[in-house]
This record gives sequence, C-alpha cells and structure tokens, in this order.
Amino acid sequence: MQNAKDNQIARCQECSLLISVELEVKRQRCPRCFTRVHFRIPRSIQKTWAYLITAAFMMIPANFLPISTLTSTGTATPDTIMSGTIALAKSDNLGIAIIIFVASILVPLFKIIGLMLILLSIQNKIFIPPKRKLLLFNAIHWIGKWSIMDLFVISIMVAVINRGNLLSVDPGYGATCFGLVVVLTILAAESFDTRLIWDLNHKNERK
Amino acid sequence: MTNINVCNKCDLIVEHVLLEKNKHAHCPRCNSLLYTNTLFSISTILALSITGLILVVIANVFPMFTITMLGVEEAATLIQGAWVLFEKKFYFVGLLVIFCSFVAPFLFLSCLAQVCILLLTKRNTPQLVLLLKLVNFFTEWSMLEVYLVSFLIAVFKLSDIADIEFQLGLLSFVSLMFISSLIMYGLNLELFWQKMEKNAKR
Repeated sequence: MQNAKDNQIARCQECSLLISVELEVKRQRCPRCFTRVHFRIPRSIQKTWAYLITAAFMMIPANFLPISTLTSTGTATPDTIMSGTIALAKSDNLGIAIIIFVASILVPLFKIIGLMLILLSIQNKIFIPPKRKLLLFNAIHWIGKWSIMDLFVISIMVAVINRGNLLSVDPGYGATCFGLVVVLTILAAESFDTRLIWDLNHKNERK
Repeated sequence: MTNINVCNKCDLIVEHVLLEKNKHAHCPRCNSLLYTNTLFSISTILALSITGLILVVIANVFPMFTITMLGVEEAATLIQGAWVLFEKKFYFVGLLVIFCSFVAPFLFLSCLAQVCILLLTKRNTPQLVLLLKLVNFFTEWSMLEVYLVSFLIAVFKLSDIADIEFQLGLLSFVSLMFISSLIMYGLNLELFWQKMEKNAKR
C-alpha cells in the first residue's frame, strides 16, 4: 500500500491531473490548469475547525431568534425553527414537521458534531476506524445542501403570503443566522481533505 | 504516469486498468469510486446543457403556480421569492436563495455549453481553463433538487389557506432538475481537460 504523497505524486485540486512534484521547485503550478499544486489542502484541519466553531456558535441565534413572523389580522406571531415545527406537528402536518425538523435541526447538528469527531480522531484524541470516518464524511458531504431547505420554504412563503395586516409572512434574523450556519458547514466540508484520514494511519503503520 | 492512478479520497496508488463500457473501478483501500466508463461525450453534454438553458428561460418567464387567497389570484415565479427577501432588506438570505436556486444552476449550464462549443470547434482560448474551473465550482452550489422539495413543502403548507394551481413554469423547473442531474451523473471533466490538451498540441 503506497501513498502518492510519499512518491512525490500530487493530484491537482482543480483538474485532478497527476503531477510528479520536484522537491527543489517551490510553488509549483499545474501544467494543465495553472493552479498551485499541493499534496494536501493547505491548513485543512485549522480551516475546518475555524468554520465548524463559527457554525456551532451561529447555531445559537439561528435557533433562538425568530426565523419568520406570521401576521394574521393584525396580530404578529414570531416563530423560531423549533416552535414552527411544533406548530406544524400540532396542525396535523406531522410528515412535513418531521422533514423540517430533520433538515433544519438534526442535519446541521449532525454535520457539526460529525466533522468535529473526524477532526478529533485525526488529531489522535479519539479512535474511529478510517473507513468509518470516510463513510461519515461522505454522508456529511452528501447531506450538506439539504439543510438549506427551510430558507427556500421561507422565501416562497414570504413571496406569496403578502396581504399586509390581513395575512403576511416576514423573515426574521434567525433566517440570516441559519443561512450562515448552512454556508459555514458547507465550507467546512469543502476545506476538509479526506486523504488526511489515511495519512495518520500510514504513519502508525510505519512506526 | 499513464499506467497508474491515485485515489483522490485516500491517496493510494493503484494500477490503471482499462474498463469495459458501464464498469466502475473502486479503490481497494477505501472503496471510493476511482474512475468509470459510463461517460457522456462532449456533444451529448452540449445538447443536454442547451436543453437545460432553454428550460431555465421557460421556468423563469412563466409562473410556477397561481395562488388564490382571500379572493385574490396571483402568480408566483421562481425568482420572486428571493426578490421579496431583497425588498425586505434580508440581503444575505436573498442572495443565498437566488444563488443556489437560480444563479449557480444557470451559470453551470452556460459555462458548460461554452466549454463544449470551444472544445468542439477546437478553439483554445485562455478563458477555457477559467470556465472549466467555474463548472467545478457551480456544481457544488447548484441546489435544484432541494428547491423542488422545499417548493412541495411550501405548497403543502399553503394548501390549507389558499387554492393553488400549477403552471408551465413548474413543469419546466422539474425537467430542468432532471436534465441537470443527468448532466452531473454523466459529466466527467477529465475528458474535457484531455480534449483541451489534445487541441493545444495541434
């Protein structure tokens, strides 16, 4: 089992060309697409941590500030993600309540906690088998975009329900924070380099 | 380095074997997909992306649905949602919604169509590299299928308080989603990069 990095072979991040890296040449560029060549995404672990911690903090206002406000015949009722879901469940829309709950509360939590576990295990704090780490990462990567669902729903509701004081929906600042959580978790998954999972393993094998 | 390949998930060096049609090669260490032979040719991709572009226009010109609420009928289009968010000064959310549901899929298709045309007419302009990188970027941020599910949820929520009739815009949006999924399934950018190199040598 040989790693490409140990044989001075790098894969271009943009066009995935295999490049043999000469050690004496600094800042080598890909001959095909002129991107900087790196063996691994530079500072991958630090970047992922940074995005994750910011996302974890943004989860707090995202869940406690109202995400939308429904005005019906003059009275305004602000809704957080959770209260909106509970209201849906009570009004016999249990299926939709579950979808919204999973997409906007469970998925962001799963992404943040899952990536943190992977990072901790790479930094040798806990042990998770490499294959399971990759499986977890693939799940996080695939599910990433689905957490934006609630924002799309709000944008449609806001556009359509617009009868002023009679009946209207307005977005709340929770939506902005929630949007940030979504973007930050996607960026966190993007900046993580899965090859690091096996680097660690490889080092242990040779010891 | 033509006879070896490297897994891009775990960096393992593997021998490159020529595959039969519709076969996939998986990494022996982490089981990720290494490469496949289920590819669309450049002209197929061009045809699909032009179809997609036409559908983008139809999906945005015609309303997705008409809604009758409190006795007033109103039509709703795709970008209206993001537009109202802008009007209410929720710029970040509006930008995010419009980018993921309209800008990214649209630019993905138009960059891809341009790349195909440039490659098929054998013109290697300097923009080609940039366009190919953009295609890579926009695939990450195009969220048509998520938008469709959100749309259905919104319709379900609205059906309690209003009458909803689906319109032509929705049909073309659904077709657009299928076309773009089909492109992402069969798109192998390696083929494009190789074609670019081949054209450059001539």
